[in-house]
Amino acid sequence: MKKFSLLLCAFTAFALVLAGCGDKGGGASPAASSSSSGASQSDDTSKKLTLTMMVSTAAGGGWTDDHPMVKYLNDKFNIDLKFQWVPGDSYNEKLNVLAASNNFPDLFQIWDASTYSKWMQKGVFLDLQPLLADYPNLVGNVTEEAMTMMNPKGKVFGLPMYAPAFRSNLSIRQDWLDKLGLKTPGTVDEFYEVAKAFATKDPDGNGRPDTIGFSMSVSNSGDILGIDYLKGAFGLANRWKDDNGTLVAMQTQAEEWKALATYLRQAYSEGILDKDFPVNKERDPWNKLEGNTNGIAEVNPNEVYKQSVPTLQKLAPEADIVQLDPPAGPTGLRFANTITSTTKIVLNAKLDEEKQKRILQVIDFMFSDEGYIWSKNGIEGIHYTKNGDTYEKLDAFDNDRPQILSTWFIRRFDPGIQIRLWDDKTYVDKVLAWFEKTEPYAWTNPAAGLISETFSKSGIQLDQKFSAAIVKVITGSAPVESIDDAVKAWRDGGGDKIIEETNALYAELK
Amino acid sequence: MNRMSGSDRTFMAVVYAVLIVATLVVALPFLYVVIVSFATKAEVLSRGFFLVPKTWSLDSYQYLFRERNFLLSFRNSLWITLIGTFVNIALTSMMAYGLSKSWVVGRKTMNMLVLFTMLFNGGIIPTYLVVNQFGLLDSYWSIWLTAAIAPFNLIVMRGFFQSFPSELEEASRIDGCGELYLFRKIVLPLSMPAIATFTLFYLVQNWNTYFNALLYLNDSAKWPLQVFLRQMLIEAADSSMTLEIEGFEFGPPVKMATVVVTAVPLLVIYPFFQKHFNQGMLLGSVKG
Amino acid sequence: MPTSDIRGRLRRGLPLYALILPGALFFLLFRYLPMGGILIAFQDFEPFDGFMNSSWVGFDHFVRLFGDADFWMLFRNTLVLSALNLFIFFPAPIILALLLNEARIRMFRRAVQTITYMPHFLSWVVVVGISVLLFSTQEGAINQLLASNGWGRIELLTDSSYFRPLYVLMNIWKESGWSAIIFLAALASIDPTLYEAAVMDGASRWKTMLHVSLPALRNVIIILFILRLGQTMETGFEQVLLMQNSLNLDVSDVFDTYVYRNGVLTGEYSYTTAVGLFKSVIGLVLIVAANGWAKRKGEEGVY
Repeated sequence: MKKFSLLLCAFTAFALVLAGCGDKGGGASPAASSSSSGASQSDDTSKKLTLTMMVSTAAGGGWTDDHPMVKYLNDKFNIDLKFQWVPGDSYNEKLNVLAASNNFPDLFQIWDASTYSKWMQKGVFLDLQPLLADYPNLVGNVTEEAMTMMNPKGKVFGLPMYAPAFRSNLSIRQDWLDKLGLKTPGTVDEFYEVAKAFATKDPDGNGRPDTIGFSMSVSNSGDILGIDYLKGAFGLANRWKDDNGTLVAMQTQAEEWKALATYLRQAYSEGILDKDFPVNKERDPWNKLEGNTNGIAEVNPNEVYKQSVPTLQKLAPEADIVQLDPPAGPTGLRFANTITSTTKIVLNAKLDEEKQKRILQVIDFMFSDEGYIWSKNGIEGIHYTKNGDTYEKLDAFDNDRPQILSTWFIRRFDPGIQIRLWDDKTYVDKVLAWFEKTEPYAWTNPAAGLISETFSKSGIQLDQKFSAAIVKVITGSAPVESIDDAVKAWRDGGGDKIIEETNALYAELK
Repeated sequence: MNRMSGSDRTFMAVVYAVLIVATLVVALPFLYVVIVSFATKAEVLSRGFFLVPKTWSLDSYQYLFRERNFLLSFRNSLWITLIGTFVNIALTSMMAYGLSKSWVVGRKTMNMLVLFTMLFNGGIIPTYLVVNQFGLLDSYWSIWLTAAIAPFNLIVMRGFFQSFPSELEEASRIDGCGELYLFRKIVLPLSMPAIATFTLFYLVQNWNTYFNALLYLNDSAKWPLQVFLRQMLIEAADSSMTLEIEGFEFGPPVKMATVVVTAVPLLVIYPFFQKHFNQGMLLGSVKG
Repeated sequence: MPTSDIRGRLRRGLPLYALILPGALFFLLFRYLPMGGILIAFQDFEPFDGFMNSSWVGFDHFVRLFGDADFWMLFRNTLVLSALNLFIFFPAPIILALLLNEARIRMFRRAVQTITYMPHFLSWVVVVGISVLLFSTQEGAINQLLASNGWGRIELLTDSSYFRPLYVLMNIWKESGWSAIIFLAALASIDPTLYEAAVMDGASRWKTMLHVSLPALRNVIIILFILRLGQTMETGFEQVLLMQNSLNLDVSDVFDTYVYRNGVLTGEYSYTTAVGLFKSVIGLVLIVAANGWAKRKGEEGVY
């Protein structure tokens, strides 16, 4: 009895506490200026504003308050930039507690498409549509498609975060091809033969059967990764396919899956496909390429020459990694791993006009030619030097990491996001060539960013069961016919509803 | 112990054998972690499990110690651990002692309430709101206060106090000592094994503070070591985050270096606590 | 003798209440005040709307949970892993502590103590990563050894039948040393005269261990056992998630991983809380039952 009344008091107290924070009008930003400066065209930056910005971090962390890049922005725009750095793997949790206490920063990212759409409807984000006209650099360096994606007509609640569509690009060990006297594979059958040779003909020349042809992985959310080029070749959709205006879900393409699974099953049993793939992490196929055991893998063109090749050459000095066009499937289809980013950069709707403009000015600067160079390379004299026409990186670049805003927060729609001033032209051309060459093979998902309610609830669980069934077929623990059962299970478990709901959302877009 | 019987000898042989095997089984993989931190990425990716690197490298450690944020967060961790552990052990031992006396009124209810919190938790968001409401955000007090007492530690420590020999207490009461004196001057000093154990537990808990820190501390200059280091281990959660930082290869070596760096201070500290886990703290305290 | 008169006890207890007070405040402010958050399990909670503005859905989430086709599989898997922890993992640190207590060579004992407690500081990400290096079918060290000697490879990581043994063995590897510390502390508090008496009686080391050392651990063991029962529905989320793969789901899917995919990844706080509440209730029932049983046997319980 005592315990119960104590709990009751706790609940009441708790409710009171929350009532106190229920005030939505208060707002997170400090006292706004008493009257807006009036000029809508250009903010005269005569007033120092404090801006808070939440940026997710990975290795190395964020910038310190006295960082030269921070100082630069503070001086240039007369602001006091306060960063809230958040380690990437806890970003969503942090965002949610900030939401619960209604304490959003001025500028931040939203990663999850369904969160974006929910909060957008609740008015958390500022509609940027009326303001964009003043910021040509921004508008000019973002594609129309990306700008409107996930936004209702006529409104822009968030700026798109660019990810190079072909950031995971298929590559192959050219030196192994040469050594074994093979030509570059063009069809999935030729691919199979080449991969088989890689696995069985000892291309690393050490007399041990320690090489494989290719690899893949399965994520915790039920996605089969690393073989998009095969999925596409066998006619599977990149999650969704537009078939005369209706969306078809890849989990219903039983025949295509059976063909692909049979192919992979054969490869697995002959030791061509990495037998450890069920326990691989996403980067493992690439790691194994760098580790001189895997012959074909998807790599990031912006990192392959600077990271992968040097690592590999320590083990195999004549190693050479070159781009491989996605092989053509039985019906001649060729598709490459294509990424569509659904991350949005948003502004807090409660910002006063001055702050809105100032923030957009900063972003616009980062999209301008001068600013783009600044965001990728740092400050001349501190992070690099210029001698006539040549540039040279300084040590401070590695220590200060001035490029993190462009890698982790916001950037132009340009595949060369990791190209630096001091990279020599042949290198730059080589890297950009990867992206250009993959263009014709774009494997688009027309429903990117559309989240159906049923998918929100049980979509991931269903996907996991589905991919588990496919994996069992590949490893030989289940017959190919079981895929029909898997498709049925997906449909019955909620898949049909997902198809219905997603199609409804899709129709609204038109 | 000059003459051991045959069965005793066998027994001791078994004891030592088992312990040696256990130690090896534990040590080898751990050794691997340490070795990898001194190896190169290329070798680690190509070799699988190995214990002697072909190429030794201090690159990972150099990278870590060069980072400004590293030394800063290390210092923060020391501070958090120092104050935090003190708060923890003070509050826990006091409350545990108070609850160990069976004649204290309301004891059973309080014990139940404590246990209840071990099973039922409001969750991240409500706790955050409470911390926010008390104005503790961005202050280390948010960490020290939200984790002030671990119910498990409290319950077990209470158990230790309960099994404290009552003859000692009787003796001191007869001598006219008050409850608090009894606690401070007699029970505490003789409960060193328990105190040492839980101080160690809290020390490790504080040193490993990660989630609370990133939740409650907005200013990254206040972050403890774990937050800084864990950033190193993040695989890109979102497809639009790329991890490349030029000039340094991330990979297993630097990840293992972060593990070693966090673990070493704790391993160094352990011997100081170890001596309390040895026999004879109650020696000579009660006659007859 | 303490007076049994309530007023007398209250008065005598004053200094003790003073000792309890700071801790009690902590529980009140930072544990019970937020406790209302459990009610989220009965809502359709949206962080932005907050507690007051989120709609109420009553027991819908529980209906969903119990109605899920996988519910019984998850329940069974969770219970099996817990049973393994309770009956196989639980004794390991006790045995380790007892053995260490017998080792007389000081340096050896200290070294073993320190080394065995080291893995506790490795995160599961690292430990499972090492297990992949050792046990994976193709490139794992063990399987490579087997293959080079002409024996067949064992699919330790993907075959369902190895999941449970590996789970508990890895847990023992990682946590025994650390968990042994409490038992070592308890053993250190044993009155040495008891050992002297045993020697006098001519008891062998083995008998001494059984009849002096082990009984002294009784209280601690019972308390820890009961507490562990309360954690029955907890299976070590990180470890299971990392060890889980497409081929062992039928034994490795537990409530925690289920809710990870169906609640955490999808941002459904309410459902996550509801599943957590269910787990806690089961734990509570078990603790109450166990505590009651212990008290009837004359032992000190956890309350």
